Amino acid sequence: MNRIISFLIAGLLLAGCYKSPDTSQLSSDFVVVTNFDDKADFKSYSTFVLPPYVGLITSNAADTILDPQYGDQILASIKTHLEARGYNNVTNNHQADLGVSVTALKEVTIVTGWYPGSWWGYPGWGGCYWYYCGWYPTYPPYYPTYVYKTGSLVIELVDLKNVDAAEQKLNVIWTNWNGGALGSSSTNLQNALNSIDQAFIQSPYVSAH
Amino acid sequence: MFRKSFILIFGALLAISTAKAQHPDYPFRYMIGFSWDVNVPINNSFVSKTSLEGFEFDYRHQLKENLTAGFEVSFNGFYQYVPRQTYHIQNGAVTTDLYTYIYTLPMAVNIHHYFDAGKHVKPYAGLAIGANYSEQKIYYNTYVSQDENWGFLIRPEIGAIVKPDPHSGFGILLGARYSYATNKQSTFKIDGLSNLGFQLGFVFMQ
Repeated sequence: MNRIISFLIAGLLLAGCYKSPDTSQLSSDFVVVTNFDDKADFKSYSTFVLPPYVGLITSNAADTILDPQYGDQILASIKTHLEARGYNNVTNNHQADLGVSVTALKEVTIVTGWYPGSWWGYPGWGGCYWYYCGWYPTYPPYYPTYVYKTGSLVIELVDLKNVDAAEQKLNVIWTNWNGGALGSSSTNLQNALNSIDQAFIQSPYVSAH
Repeated sequence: MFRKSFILIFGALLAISTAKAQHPDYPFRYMIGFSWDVNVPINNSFVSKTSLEGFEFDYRHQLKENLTAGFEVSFNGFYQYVPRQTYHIQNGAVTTDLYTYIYTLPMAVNIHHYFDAGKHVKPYAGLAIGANYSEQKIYYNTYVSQDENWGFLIRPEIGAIVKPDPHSGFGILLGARYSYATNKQSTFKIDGLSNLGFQLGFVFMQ
C-alpha cells in the first residue's frame, strides 16, 4: 500500500513540475526578418517607385489602406533608406527598376497558413502593381513560410527591370517581414520605424554601389 | 512552488517510512528514491545555463547483496534568455531577443553495485541505459518555434546512500552522473544532449 502511495506521489510530482520559462522578459520590439534572392544583382538597379499608400489587411474586409498619418511616415523612412543606398526615387512607374511593396497585416485569422506573396491581390487592394495588371509575384524556392498571428509589416523590393513577360511574373528580390505583439498605434508606428532601420542594417547588400 | 511541494511530500513520506517496524540494514528488498536533480549542460549551444529545475524518481530492487537493478525517471527544465541580436539564416537574417528552452524526460533501467564503507555510508557505482524524450522551444516576441524528439540515453553514475540511523529504512541520496542522449534537432543545432548531473535526495528502503 505504501509503495502504491509513493508511486502515485512520484507521478504527481513528475506531472506537476513541467513549466515554461517566464517570457515576460522578452522585448516587445518586432522580430525583424530579411531574405534576399542570391541571384539578384542589387547594384544593377538605380531607380525605385514607392506605392501611394501602405496597404492594410485585417479580418475586416473594408480595411484596405493604413491610415496615412502612419503610412506616410513608413514610406518616408523606406525612401530615406533606399536613397542612402544610392537608389533614386522616381514617381513614374515606367522609369522604375524596382517597385516597393508595403503591406501592414493586423490580427488576421490564418486558415490554411501563409506563404510569401499571399498578401498580394488581397480583395480591396486591387490587382494592379505598377503597370502590371494580373501578374503574380514569384519567389526563390528556398524562402521560408511565415505565419502571421499578431501584427506585421511586410516590405518588398520587386524587380521591374527584368520582368518575365512570357510567364507574367515579377521577381521579388528582397523581403522584410517585421512582426510581433501590437500595442498602441504610436507604439506600433515606432516599432515599425525601428524595424525598418534594423532591416536595412542587416541588409548591407541592398545598395546601388 | 516546486520546492515547497517537494518539502511537503518529503515530510509525508518520512512519516510513512519511520512508522514502520525496524529491520536489519541489508538485505533490503527494494528502495525508492526521490531527488532534486541539477544538470550542467556540456557542449550545448542551444542552452548552456545550468538547470536547477529537475526531479528524479528511482526504484532499485536488490538482486543479491551489493547489487541492485531498477529504473529511474526524471524531468528537467533548461532555459536561457538571449538578448536581442542578429542571426544569419540562408539568404537572410533575423533580429530578435529570445528564450531557448529544453525539457527532458529521461527514462532508464539501471544497475548499481554497492561498496562496504561502514554502517552509515553505502557508496555505489552504476550504469543506466534508456530513452530520453525532449522538447526544445524558442520563444521570441509572441511566437514560439518548437520541436520534440527522442534519443537513446546512456548514463554512468556514482554516489552514496547515507543512513543517519543504520537500523532505519531512511537514507540520504547523493549522486553524480554523466548523461549522454542522442537527441538531434538540426535547425536548433542540437547534435546530442550531454549533461553533468548532481542529485540530492532521499531513499526509503524496505
